[in-house]
Amino acid sequence: MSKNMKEVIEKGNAFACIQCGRCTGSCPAGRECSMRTRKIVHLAKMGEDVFAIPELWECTTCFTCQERCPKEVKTTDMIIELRNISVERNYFPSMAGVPRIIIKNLYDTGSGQPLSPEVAKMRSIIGLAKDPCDVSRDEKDLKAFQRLLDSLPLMRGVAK
Amino acid sequence: MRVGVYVCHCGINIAKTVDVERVVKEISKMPNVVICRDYHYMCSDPGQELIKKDINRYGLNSIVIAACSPRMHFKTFQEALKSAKLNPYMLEMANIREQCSWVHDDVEEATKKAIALVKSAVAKAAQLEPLVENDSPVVPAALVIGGGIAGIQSALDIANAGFKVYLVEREPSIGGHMAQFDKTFPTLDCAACILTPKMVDVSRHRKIELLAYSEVDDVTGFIGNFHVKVRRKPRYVDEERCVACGDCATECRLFNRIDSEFDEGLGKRAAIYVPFPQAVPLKYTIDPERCLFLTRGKCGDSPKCVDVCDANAIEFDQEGRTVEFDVGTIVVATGYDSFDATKKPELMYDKLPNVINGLQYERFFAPNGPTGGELVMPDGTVPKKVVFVSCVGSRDKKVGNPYCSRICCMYSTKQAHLTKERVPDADVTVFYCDVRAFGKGYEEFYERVQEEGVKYRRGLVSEIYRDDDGKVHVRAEDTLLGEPIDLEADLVVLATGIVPKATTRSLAQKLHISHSPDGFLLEAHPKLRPVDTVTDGIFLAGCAQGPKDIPDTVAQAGAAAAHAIDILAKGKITIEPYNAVVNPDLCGGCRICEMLCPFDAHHYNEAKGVMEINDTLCKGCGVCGAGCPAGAITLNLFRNKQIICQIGAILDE
Amino acid sequence: MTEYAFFPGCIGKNVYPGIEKATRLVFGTLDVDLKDYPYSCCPPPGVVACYDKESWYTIGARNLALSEAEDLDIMTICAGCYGTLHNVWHELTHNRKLLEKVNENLDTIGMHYSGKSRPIHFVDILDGMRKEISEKKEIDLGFDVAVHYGCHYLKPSSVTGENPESPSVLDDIVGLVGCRSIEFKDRLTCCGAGGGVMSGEPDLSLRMIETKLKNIQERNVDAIINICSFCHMQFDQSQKKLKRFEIPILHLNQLLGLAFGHKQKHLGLHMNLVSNRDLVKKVKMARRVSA
Repeated sequence: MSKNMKEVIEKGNAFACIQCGRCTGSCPAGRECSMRTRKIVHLAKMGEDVFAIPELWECTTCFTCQERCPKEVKTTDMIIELRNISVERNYFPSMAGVPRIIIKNLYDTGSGQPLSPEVAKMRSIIGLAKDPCDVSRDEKDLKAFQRLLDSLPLMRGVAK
Repeated sequence: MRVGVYVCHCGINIAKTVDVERVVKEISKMPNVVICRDYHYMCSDPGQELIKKDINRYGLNSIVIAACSPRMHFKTFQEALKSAKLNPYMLEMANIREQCSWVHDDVEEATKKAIALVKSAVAKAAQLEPLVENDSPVVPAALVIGGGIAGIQSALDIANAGFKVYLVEREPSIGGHMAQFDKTFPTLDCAACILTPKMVDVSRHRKIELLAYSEVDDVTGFIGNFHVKVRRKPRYVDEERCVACGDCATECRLFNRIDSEFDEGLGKRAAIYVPFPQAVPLKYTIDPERCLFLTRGKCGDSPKCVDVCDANAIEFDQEGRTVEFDVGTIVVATGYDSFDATKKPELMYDKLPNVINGLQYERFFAPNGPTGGELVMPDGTVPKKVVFVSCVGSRDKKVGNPYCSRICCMYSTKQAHLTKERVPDADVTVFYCDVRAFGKGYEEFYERVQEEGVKYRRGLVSEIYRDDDGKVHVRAEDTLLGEPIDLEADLVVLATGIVPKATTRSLAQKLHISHSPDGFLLEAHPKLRPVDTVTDGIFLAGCAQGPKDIPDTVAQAGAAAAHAIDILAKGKITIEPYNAVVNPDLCGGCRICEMLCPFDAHHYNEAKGVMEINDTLCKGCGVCGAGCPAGAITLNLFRNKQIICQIGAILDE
Repeated sequence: MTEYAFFPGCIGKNVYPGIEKATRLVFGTLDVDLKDYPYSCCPPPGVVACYDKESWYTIGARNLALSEAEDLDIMTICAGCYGTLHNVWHELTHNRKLLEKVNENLDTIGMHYSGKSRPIHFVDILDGMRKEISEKKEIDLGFDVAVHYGCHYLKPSSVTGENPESPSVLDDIVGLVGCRSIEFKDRLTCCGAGGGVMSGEPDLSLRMIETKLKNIQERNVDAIINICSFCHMQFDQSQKKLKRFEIPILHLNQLLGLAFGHKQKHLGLHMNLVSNRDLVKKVKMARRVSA
């Protein structure tokens, strides 16, 4: 987990980048928006605060760019690490809404997508346990899980 | 022993960090030391005069020089000893520069270390013995492996100097890849027109014995005396009788049915063939894996080639044979292969017929190619939109080729020009990362081709696909615009890079030469010795040593020839006595040293039951000495007693 | 008797439980035992890893640690879960310092992960059971299908060991049950849901899946087959949002369930927003393999 741009560049092997553009050429998101993978790597190498740019959040982490990079630059891994720094420094823009709800759900129920009563009913109709085996089934497990989450940086900034 | 010690200042290189005067003072106290001096530059003429005068005046019989690394001036000082009539091996150097003054800052510590180093050298010098340099005769002939432009050039240069050359080529004809090209960059010379005269020279040269359609099976020996075994593959055609009329190929039942290697799979040949009309030797060859008679024992009622050959040259019972000969030097010029683009599946090379590689595209333009030099696709259409994809298999760690193949930028530029020449209104785009136009006239050529309307877009192609109308599309980012683009094309040419020939590794093992991590053959020094290998007497030329264009290949081939001629002309080689010696009284004939030796220098003498060392092959590496259980092997210049005295001198501090 | 720890993941359990049910039925038919554990969310690589990787490794390691006592490998049915668990396993077994940090965190609730239990995506298990699949096939389905490999099962290949540019396992498996895998433009491209984009950049996510659906629609397939519950959700929900596509979407286990003769109701086919009625009709008309 990189704490600063220097670590991100080193871990991501960004120094090897020759700006060939194969990453952007492979990017399925880049065809539909203004994110340019290659530019992100270049800005990082130049020492810019890339974690502050909104396009950083348009990557679906499909890994095609990292797969095809001829210099073995870890493009997708770098984007994820940059997002971590962004969150830590409170830069994340449009992700304010729904993703935070997912983390809150994770804390409250142990699942990012919790089980609704309707779906619980559907489960029993098709022959599955209404109350599935997961961390929320036993109160003790869920409480332990929440204690674990309390000790982690993830919950920072998410109202409980 | 009467030892003379000379401590060099090397200007400030040594003297700034080592207190030279103090070193002299300490060393002067040592036993055996008759005279100890310091001087600013020992390697200079006055410095050497100092040594010579002292040898005569004081009757010195062993010399120590404390200065730079022996790799710099050991030979220089040896010459000084020789001219003072002292055996040149009564010399020991202490490296107080690269291993002392250049790597330490503290003057006190560095001086103490220098004193220890010189004491150790003096202790060894007191134990030195005179050694004799032996001569070994040189066979006045050379072997050149590979008949492409590199091998051809080397062979001609060596033969013109008056020495016999055996030129071995594995294909039915010499010429290599250059014979497949249409035009060469940047002058647009016709490749065949400049190559074939040299090929004919080779065939006609009194001093060159051309062994085409042959392979080197085994090489033993050492510089001056290599013994070579070459396997001559059977053509199943009598070379004396064949006049190359070509009737056999026209009548062959498999006429036009077999993919032609020379045409990179785009053209066809028969089972009996010459690779191209200008082949040297111009003799037909039967493909033993496709010929019906050779594979099945029968070809219709009777083989057509036999029926139609007026010269009666077909010989199905011909056998391969091995020829053996001796040479003094070897030049390795085995060339390259094209990168296999199927290793980049996202480029669809093996899936789409209008995605081809650089060498294949070249065959379209060549007058002796499958389309007679016309730019016409297999379906008869003329491509109007041509896209070049750079760096396929080069600068790419994913496929294990991190290096740049050097020639692709230029050959793409050349092929882009040829495209416009054949189809003036064609839309030609080159997707590049960097345009490497390094040679004479190259940058000018690149500019000219752009003036002809070829578009250069910066960005490497990430993937290729085919749409529902059968049109091929390339995807890339135009990095200068910062926009992804999708371009439709009729034809996509992958600028595939150069890889070492598949046979390089086994050949390197046969010859005891190394290759670098990228698989190309390794030169002795990357800057200063580009044609030598670490094995004396074996030289490198052409792309076997690394990617390069034709001018550099020819230059390197000439250099390799010059180095080969150097040895052949001297007629003998002087062997430095840095070798290991077996004491036959102690040797038990266990042969462990033979197994350990990386240079095959050990030979078991059956009659005497002891090992003998060939001092020409021996490099003095010491592995055998370390491995001998009887302690029967010692190294000249690194005898056990000498080393023990050195250690003693250091520990005495 | 083969046995795996079964990691159903949130989507296959809480949103499209038909996928969980189909999995249990299919692997039951194939004589594979699935054991349940009190798993939490994997947690999702898109949201959680992008927020804080240390938390992602830790929560993932807790899940991995649950089956260590029984030394069972863990089967995933969602490639997002696989992407998390497999990458967490790979990183923790190659990076001692990270493993120590993660175990320090797990220690707060008395747990410990030693790197034993290994995640495996259900497709790889099926790949090794081709003979059994052919034997258990009762209906030769005869569908034309568009297969969707998704991303995290294939990439990064240095970790997954797969062939991301020309994979064939999914095409082969649907072939085993009589289906034809139809080529379509950009078939290996991402569905647009991952990386937190589905929740964080919904317009972009929709544009990406729309492009994919357009490409598939040009081919007249009977269904889209996926190997990831998250892609499944994306393909299903987006068609309702876009309003102009009605291509049935099935998880591979649902397809296999049909081929093994299980009822469509049990496989949860009716739980999709996109109707599977036509598909079910086709199954009724398909050729039954004689016993």
